[in-house]
Amino acid sequence: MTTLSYSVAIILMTMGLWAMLSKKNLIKKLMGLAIFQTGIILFFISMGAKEGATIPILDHHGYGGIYSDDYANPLTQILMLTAIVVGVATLGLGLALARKIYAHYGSFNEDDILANLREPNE
Amino acid sequence: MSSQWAFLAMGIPFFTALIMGSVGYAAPRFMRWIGATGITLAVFASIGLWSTVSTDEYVSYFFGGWLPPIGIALEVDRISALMVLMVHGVAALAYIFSLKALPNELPASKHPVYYTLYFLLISGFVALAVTGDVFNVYVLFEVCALSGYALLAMGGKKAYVPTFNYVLMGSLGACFYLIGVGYLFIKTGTLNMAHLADVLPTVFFSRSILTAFILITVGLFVKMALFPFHGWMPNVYTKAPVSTLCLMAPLGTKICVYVLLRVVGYVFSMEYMTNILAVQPIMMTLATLAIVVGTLYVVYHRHLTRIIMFIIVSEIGYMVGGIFLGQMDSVIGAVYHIAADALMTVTLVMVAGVVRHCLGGDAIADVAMMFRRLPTTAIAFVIVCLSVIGVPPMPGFFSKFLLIKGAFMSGYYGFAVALLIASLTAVFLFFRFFEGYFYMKTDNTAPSVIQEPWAYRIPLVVAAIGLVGFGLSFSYWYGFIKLALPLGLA
Amino acid sequence: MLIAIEVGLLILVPCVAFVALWLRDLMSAVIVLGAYSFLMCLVWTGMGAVDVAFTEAAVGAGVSTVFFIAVLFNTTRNITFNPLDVSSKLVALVACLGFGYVLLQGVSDLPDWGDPYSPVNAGVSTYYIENAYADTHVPNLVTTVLADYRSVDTMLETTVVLIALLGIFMILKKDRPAQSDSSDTQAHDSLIIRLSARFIAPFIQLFGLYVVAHGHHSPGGGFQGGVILGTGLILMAMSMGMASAKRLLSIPRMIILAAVGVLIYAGWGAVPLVYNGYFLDYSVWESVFGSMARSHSMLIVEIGVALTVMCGMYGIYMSLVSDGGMQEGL
Repeated sequence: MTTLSYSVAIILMTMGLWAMLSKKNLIKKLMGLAIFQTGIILFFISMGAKEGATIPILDHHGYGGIYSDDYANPLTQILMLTAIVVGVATLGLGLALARKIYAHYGSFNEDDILANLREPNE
Repeated sequence: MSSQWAFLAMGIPFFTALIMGSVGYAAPRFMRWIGATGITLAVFASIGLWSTVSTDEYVSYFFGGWLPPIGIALEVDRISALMVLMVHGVAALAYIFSLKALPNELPASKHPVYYTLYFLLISGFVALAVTGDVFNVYVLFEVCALSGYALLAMGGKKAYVPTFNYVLMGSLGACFYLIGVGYLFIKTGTLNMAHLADVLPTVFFSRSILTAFILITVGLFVKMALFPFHGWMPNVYTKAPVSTLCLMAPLGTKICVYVLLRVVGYVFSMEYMTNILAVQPIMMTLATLAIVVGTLYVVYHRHLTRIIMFIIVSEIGYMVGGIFLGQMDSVIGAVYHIAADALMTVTLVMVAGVVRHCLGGDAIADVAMMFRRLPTTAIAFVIVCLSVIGVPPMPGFFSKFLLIKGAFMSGYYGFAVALLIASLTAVFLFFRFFEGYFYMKTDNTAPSVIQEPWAYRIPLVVAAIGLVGFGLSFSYWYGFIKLALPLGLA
Repeated sequence: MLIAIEVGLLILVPCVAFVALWLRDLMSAVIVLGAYSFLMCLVWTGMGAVDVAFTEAAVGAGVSTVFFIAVLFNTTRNITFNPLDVSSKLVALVACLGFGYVLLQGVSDLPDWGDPYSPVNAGVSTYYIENAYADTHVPNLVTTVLADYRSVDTMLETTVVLIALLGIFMILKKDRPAQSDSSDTQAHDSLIIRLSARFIAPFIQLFGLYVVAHGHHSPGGGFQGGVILGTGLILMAMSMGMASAKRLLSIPRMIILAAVGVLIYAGWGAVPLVYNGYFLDYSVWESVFGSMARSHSMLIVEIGVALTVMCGMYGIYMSLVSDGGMQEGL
C-alpha cells in the first residue's frame, strides 16, 4: 500500500505533466493540469491516512478521551481543500482564455494558432 | 501594539480591493479616490512597519491569536520590511501612472474590476514578503498569479496566447512548489518556517529532503523566470497593457526571488545548501547563463519594452547568483539589488509606456525622438540607465560591487565576468539610443516638445529622485540589511 | 476487504486518467475526466478524507465538467491533428522522466502508508485532534482547522474564487455591448427539462443550505455548500434561458455579492483589531457568545465563503457559456 499509493500519485502527476507539455490541444493541456493537481492531492491525502482510523469528526458525545490515533489527519485534508478550490479557479481562467483564443484563431490547436500568429495581418 | 503594522501592510490593500469590488459598479466615480486613499494608507503602513523593525528588529503577527506552528504567523524581519516598503512604493508609483495610462488601454466599464484585481495583487505581493508559513506561500502565489493572469490578458487579442502559456507555466511552478512542500511536510510534520528550520537539521541527510529542495527551487525558478525557465515571461509581459506592466514587471519576479531567499536561506539554511548539498556550482552556472543569455537578447532586440524584459531576465540572474554565492556581502548585494531593480524596472517601464502613448511606438527611433520631445521622461531615462550600467552613486553600482566582491571571494570568476559584460552591454545599449538622437536630422520642421500629463510626470520624477536617494543612502541600507541575514554566512 | 477495494481503485484511477487524455473527442474526454474525479473521491473517502472527497465530487466532477462543457458547447469538440512534432515530444519526455525520477527518489525514504506515528501524523496535527473540541466546541476537525486555526488560508482561498470570477468576467466581457435587438432567446428545449429543473432546483438549494449550516457536525461547510448552491443556480439558468437568468442574476450583481462574501469573512475577522487583538481572533466575541464564540464565528465566516463560492461558480459558468455577452447560451 505504501509504495502503491505514492506511486499512483506520481504516475498521475507525470501523466499530467506529459499532457501539459506535449499535447497540442489547449483543452487537453488544461485536462493535464487537472490530473496533475489531483495527483498532488492524492499524494497529500495518502500521507495523512492512518491505518484503522476514522474520519476526522470527533465523537464528542463519547466516553473517554480523544486519541489522535483514532482520527485521520485533518491538516493534510485542509491543505488539499484549498488546492482543489485553487485548481478549479485556475481551470476556469484557463478555459476563459482558451475560449478567447478560439474566438480569434478558430482553433484549439497550438500549431494552428502559432501559424496564425505569424501571419502579418496586423 | 506595534505589530499591527505587519497585518495592516497587507490588510489595507486587501480591504481596499474588497470595498472596490462591492461598490465599484454602483459608484464608479469614487473608484480612484478609494484607490488613492488605500494606496496612501498602505504606504503609511509600510513606513510604520519599517520604523518598527528599525527599533525592534523583528515583528511576529499571529493570525487568530494561535501561536505557530498551530496557526499561521507573519514573520517580519528587516529584509521583509524593506520588501514591503518596495512593494508599496512601486505600487503607489504604478497606481498614479495607471490613472492616466489605463483609460488609453481599457474601456471604462472594466475599470472597477481591473482595480479590484490590482489591489488584490498588491496585497498578495506584500503578504508573500511577510508570511511565515510555507503553505500560505502557495496560496499567495495563486492569489498573485490568478489576478496577474487576468490583468495581463487585458492587452487584447495578442495577449491571450502568451497569457494562456503563462497560466500553464505559472500553475506548473506553483504545483512543483506544492509537491516540494509536501515532501518537507511528510518528513517534519510542520508548515511553519521557523519550526521547519528547527526540525530540518535532524533529517538533513534524507533523500526526501533533497527531492523537496529540488522541487521547491525548480518551482520558484519557473515563477521567477530564471534562465532555462524564462520562456513564458518576455512574451506575456510585452503584450500586456502598460498599467499592468508597471506593477507586474518590477514586483512579480522580484518577490519570488525574495521567497527563494527565505526558503533557501532561513528554512533550508545556508549550511545545507553550501556544505551538505553542494549545489552551488549548478546554481551559479544557471545564474551566469541567465545573465549572459539575457544580455545577448538585449543586444538583439530593437524595442524598448522587449529590451526591458530581457534586462529583467539577466537581473534575476544577478540576484539568484548573489543568494547562492553564500557570502555575506553577496547576499546583502542581492537583497539591495531586489529593491533597486524594482525601482529601476518600474522607471524603465513607465518610460516605455510614456514613449508608447505619446509617440506611438517604442522602437529605437521613437526613444531617440523622446530626447527631443519629452524632456522629463528623457531625464528619468538617463538616470535609470546610469543605474542599470552601474555608475556610482546609483544603486546599481553598489549592488554590482557587492556581487562582484562576493564572486571573487568565493572563486566564481565567471559570474563576475558576466556581471561586467552585462554592464558593458548596458553602456552599448544606452549609446545606441543616444546615438539615434545625435544623428537625427535637425530640420526646422522638428516636432515640438510634448508636455507629459501630470499622472506620467509625477511618478517619473519621484522614481528618479528615489533612485538617486536609494543609491546615496546605501551605507544606511547596508547596515539595515546586515542585521537580518540568515545564519551561517561567511 | 477495504484495502482490496482501495488497491483496485488505485489501479483503476491512472487507467481512467489515461483514457481521458487519450480520447480524440473532447466531449467524451471531459466526461471520462468527470468519472475519473468520482473514482478519486472514492479513493479519498477510503483514506478518511471525507471533506476533500465531498469537495472533489462537487468541484472536480461537478462544476469543472460543467465549465468544460460550457466552453466546448460554444466552440468545437474535435481535435485537429498536425504532423508529429518529434522534438517537442522529446523535450516533454525528458522533462517527465526527470520529474518522475526525482519524485521516486524521494519516495524511497518516506514513512509507511497509514503509520499513525509518522512525522506528519504525530506532528502539529495531534494538537488539533486533541484540543480542537475543547478550544472551539466544533466536532468536525476539518471545519475547525479550516475556519479557525488556519483561517487566513481559507480567506485567501475564497479570495482566489473571487479573483477567478472577476478575471474571467474581465477577459470574456466584450468591449462593446452586443446588439441589444437580438430577440429574447427563449429556452428552446423541452418542457420536461424545464419542469423537472424547476422541481429539482429548490431541493438542491435546500441541500446546499444544509451543507453550509451543518458543516460543524458533518462533512461539508462553506465551500461544498457554496458549490451546491451555485449548481442550483446554474440549473435554473439552464432551464430558464439566458435572458431570464440575466434579468434575475446578472454577472455584475454576482461580482458585488462575491466581494461582499469575502468582506463578511474579512470584516468579521477585522473586528478584533478594534480591541487591539489579532486579525481573525474570534475570542473577542466571548463576551457575547460565551464559550460558543468560536463556533458561531466559524458559521458566519462559512456563510461568507458560501456566498462567494456560490456567486463565483454561477458567475464563471455564465461568463463561459455566454461568452461574456449574456446573449446566447446552452
